[in-house]
Amino acid sequence: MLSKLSPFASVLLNSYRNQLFSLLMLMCSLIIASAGLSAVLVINESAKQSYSTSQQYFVPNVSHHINSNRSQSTITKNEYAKLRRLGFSQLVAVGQFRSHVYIDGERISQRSVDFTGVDTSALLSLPGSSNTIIPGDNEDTNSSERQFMDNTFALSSSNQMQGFLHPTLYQQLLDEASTSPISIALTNADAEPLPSLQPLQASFLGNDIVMDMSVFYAHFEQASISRILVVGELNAEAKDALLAQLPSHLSLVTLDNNQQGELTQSFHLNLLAMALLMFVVCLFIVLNAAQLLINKRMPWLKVTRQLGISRRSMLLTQLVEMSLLGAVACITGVFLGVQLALLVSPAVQATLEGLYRVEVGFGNINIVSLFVKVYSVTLLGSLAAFLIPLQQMNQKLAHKNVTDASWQTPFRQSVVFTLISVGLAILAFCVFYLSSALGLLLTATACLILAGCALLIALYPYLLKWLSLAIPARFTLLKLTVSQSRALSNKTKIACCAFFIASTSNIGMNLMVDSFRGATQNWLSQRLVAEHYVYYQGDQNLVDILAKAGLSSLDIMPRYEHEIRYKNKTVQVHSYPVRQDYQSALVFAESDSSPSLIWSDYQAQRGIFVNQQFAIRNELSVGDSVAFKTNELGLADSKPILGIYYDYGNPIAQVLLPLSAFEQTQNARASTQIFPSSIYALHNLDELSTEYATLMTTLQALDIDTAQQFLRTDALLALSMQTFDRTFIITDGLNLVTLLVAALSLACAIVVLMEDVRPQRMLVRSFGVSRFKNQLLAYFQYILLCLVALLLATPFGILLSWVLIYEINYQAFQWTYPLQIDWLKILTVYSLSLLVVTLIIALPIFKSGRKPLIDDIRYLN
Amino acid sequence: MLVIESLSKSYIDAGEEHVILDKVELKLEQGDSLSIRGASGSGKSTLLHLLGALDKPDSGKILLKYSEDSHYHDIATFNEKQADHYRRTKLGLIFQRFNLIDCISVYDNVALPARLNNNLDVDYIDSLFSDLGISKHKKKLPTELSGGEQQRVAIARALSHRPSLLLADEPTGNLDADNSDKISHLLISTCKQHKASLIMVTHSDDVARLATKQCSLKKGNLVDIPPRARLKIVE
Repeated sequence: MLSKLSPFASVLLNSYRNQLFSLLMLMCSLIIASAGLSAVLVINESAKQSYSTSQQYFVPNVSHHINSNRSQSTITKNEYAKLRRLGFSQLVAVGQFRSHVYIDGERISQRSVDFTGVDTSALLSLPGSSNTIIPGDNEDTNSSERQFMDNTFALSSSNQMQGFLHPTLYQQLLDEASTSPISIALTNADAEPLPSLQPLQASFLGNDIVMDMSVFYAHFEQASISRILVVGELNAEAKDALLAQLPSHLSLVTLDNNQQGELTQSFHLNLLAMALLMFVVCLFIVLNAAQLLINKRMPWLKVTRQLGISRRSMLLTQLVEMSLLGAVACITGVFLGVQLALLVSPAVQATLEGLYRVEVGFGNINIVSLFVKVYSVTLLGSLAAFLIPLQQMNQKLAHKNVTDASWQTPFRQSVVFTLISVGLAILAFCVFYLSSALGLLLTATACLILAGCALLIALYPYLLKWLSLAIPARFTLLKLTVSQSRALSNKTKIACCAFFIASTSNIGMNLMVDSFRGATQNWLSQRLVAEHYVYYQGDQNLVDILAKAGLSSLDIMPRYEHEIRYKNKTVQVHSYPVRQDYQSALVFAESDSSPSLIWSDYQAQRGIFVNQQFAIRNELSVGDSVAFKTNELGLADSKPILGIYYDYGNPIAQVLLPLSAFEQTQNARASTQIFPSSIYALHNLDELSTEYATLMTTLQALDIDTAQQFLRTDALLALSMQTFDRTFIITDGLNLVTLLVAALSLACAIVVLMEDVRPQRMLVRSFGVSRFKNQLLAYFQYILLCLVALLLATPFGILLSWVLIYEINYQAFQWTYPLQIDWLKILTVYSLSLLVVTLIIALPIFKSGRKPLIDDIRYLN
Repeated sequence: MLVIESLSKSYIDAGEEHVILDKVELKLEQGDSLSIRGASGSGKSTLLHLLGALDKPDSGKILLKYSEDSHYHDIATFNEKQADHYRRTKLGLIFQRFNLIDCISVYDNVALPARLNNNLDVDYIDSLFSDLGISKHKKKLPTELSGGEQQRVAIARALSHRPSLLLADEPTGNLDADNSDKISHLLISTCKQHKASLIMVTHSDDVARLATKQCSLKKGNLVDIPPRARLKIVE
């Protein structure tokens, strides 16, 4: 059969026997690349699906929610029933209860599951329910949701009660229960049986078990209605009618795509970054492995060329080989990637849930579509990666005139790369200056890093040459090592670029995160002026409650909250006191006049304070007037902006008004509480006083969990920073992954270059340099390359953090913070990077150094 | 002064023992040169490897008297550290393929062994350059030189640290006839001048004849080629 292939193809296939290691390395690289990419794509898709459906609870065509605007108040069944009786038939109640999972009263899993009840009768009674449009419309989703509704209706009417869950969650519960693989019967903590489980392949199902509302309440009596969904559009008349009937503690919230957009933008930015990073990682892995394979083949490729096989034939055959190997690797890789995604889901889920309140659930994974995506990317990447060494092979095997090679002198190469670097940098800065589109800004950021790569390649030979010249001659071996590093830099360009990119991103991201952390900590420390804070949302103002309890002397400051619309976007309006301590606490990013003037105008309601997000989104500065078009809170007239303050991490635009603005409106309406307050600041509270004891008693009587809702400022600060650190766990993970890939690339390069450097190594050994010293010299050569890359990565890393803070963050979230350069952090990155490289390259260097000198001499002779 | 006593070396291949060297005996005075000829696989390179402390014999002794010392050192018993020290201070190696370090200059290549020993004598190095006719190439890179010039540089390098013994494995193997003749004359005369003993493996009769002593390896034994036989060859 082999003889029927082209001569070159048969030689290629026969070569596998002797080049098994290189081939295995290439296959492993392709498998790792496709597995990594698959895992990220699966997580991305599941998270997107989960996030997009979590707002609707898989009920189609939801336009509004009715929620309780106070944490202590809930929506009662009577309120829901009343609204339905009043003719609001578009309302569908949904309840959720988060609980651990039990069998016979024994907890079987650490994970909690959301038991969700839906008023399916209301849902099914909607006009044209079988024809409703499902968000994220596709046939599969429609049919499974229709099936769900049909099943539920049929089953609920037959009294056979069931709960639906995603097959993956079902399997996970089975695995955790270690019971019969066929079925699982859940109970509650009191061993009372829960609905039997029915797996349902539906993208809207995540970490939840869904059932009919009557079944839900039969088992979770203590649960309440989480929210009421308004299905279908509400015209203005219907909306006004509904608002008039809503109790005061309930509010109608529009399911605004723009609002969702603000929240999901940061989420999708993270996912996009993950996917892009994995793609680049894949590319480097495949590139190095491809280079290794080509290098191993070069000797007999030359022979086949001499025998008359054309370069075109060799190139095409190897491209076909790459495509076939890629297909085989992708099949394995996709399978492994899906398993990996399921494995890391809990960890990723926990992090993303905490940040964005999404569930990285079990999205509808279309394996064929996933394979096509992964194979396309891997094939494109591997072909691109393969083309570089193939092109080098082509050049080596081609008949060239003497003049052809003359342009490739080191100096000219350096000039070319310097020009490329300058070009990319100019392009990047033009985009930063002119564009505000996030996609373009990210591309420009990538161009900036590539500019750094090009500069590194251009400068490597010269930097090492100058270093070599600077070393005194008496340090013979050191001088020799630096000289050999210079030669090595030409052969390890790709690996060094990978390391440069990893270092730049590490330095940049670390500086960005540290600046953010420092700014947040300073800002919080300054802003939290009181010693204690209480989180309470009740019908009455806590100040009044405490006054009735005999604590009228307590220095307690409420924070009134309200929301208005400005240019179709939600704007928070919060109260902010004018006391001196509060004046010192508010940190302005921008303000014009003297502080005393600003604050007196603010107190007199002659102006407002806005956060950075409000100012940047609406392109406003201090002094600009804002017309809110509302009669509330004294905002009937337009108000000038007196100051723009920092408000880190808030996705929503915000305006501050003095307490008097809220109290005046409240008094005018003659009601006890229009504007809820969820946070109260307590000043000068002596924990040893009787007042404190009375306070605690009163808070407990209000069902306030004093451990969770009554916090000392230092505890609040610690909790905030803890949340902050959790936020960036994924970032830290990604940084480590990029470093590992860079180190792996170097290890690949070392394996490739083993044969090339063998004569040099043999020579130094033959001069009587000990084996250990020789290994140390080899190690130092690579570390020197890494060190030079690190030195050049430092200014680019600082530049990257500047771009991330003042461009990316600014455009994505409309707020910034000061960049702080911590040299100790940069040194930490140096140490970590060199440590990772050391750990990975130590083995190939150590192994090669163990060969007896006589073997090298025999081999070379 | 080099003395080899009952040197034996064999290896096992596919369960069968092959004797490469069988009780080889040799004496070489300081400053003398010895050429060794033999068929391929006769053990010439093995003998050089043993002399260079790159391999250990099965039995026998390799005794080398360092020029400034009074007693013999048995190279065959050296551990790795002693072998490294020996190669660094007492031995010079010349390979068939020159094996110069491409990334440093010719001068630095030559001076490298001396620098490693912290006994760089600039005047001595200059004299080597002068004797070998490569003074004008000091600042060039090895890749800029011809084969003959590179081998001269390799000879200079092997002598730069004033070794007691030089081992050359086919030093003219990669050179044309003209260069081969010049290089071999230079090699022998320079070694003699600088009082280094030379043992040279070669296939070339012309090169072999230039040495003080000639031997051939046959069936594991080192056989002297008597002067009459050399004359016969010349005739």
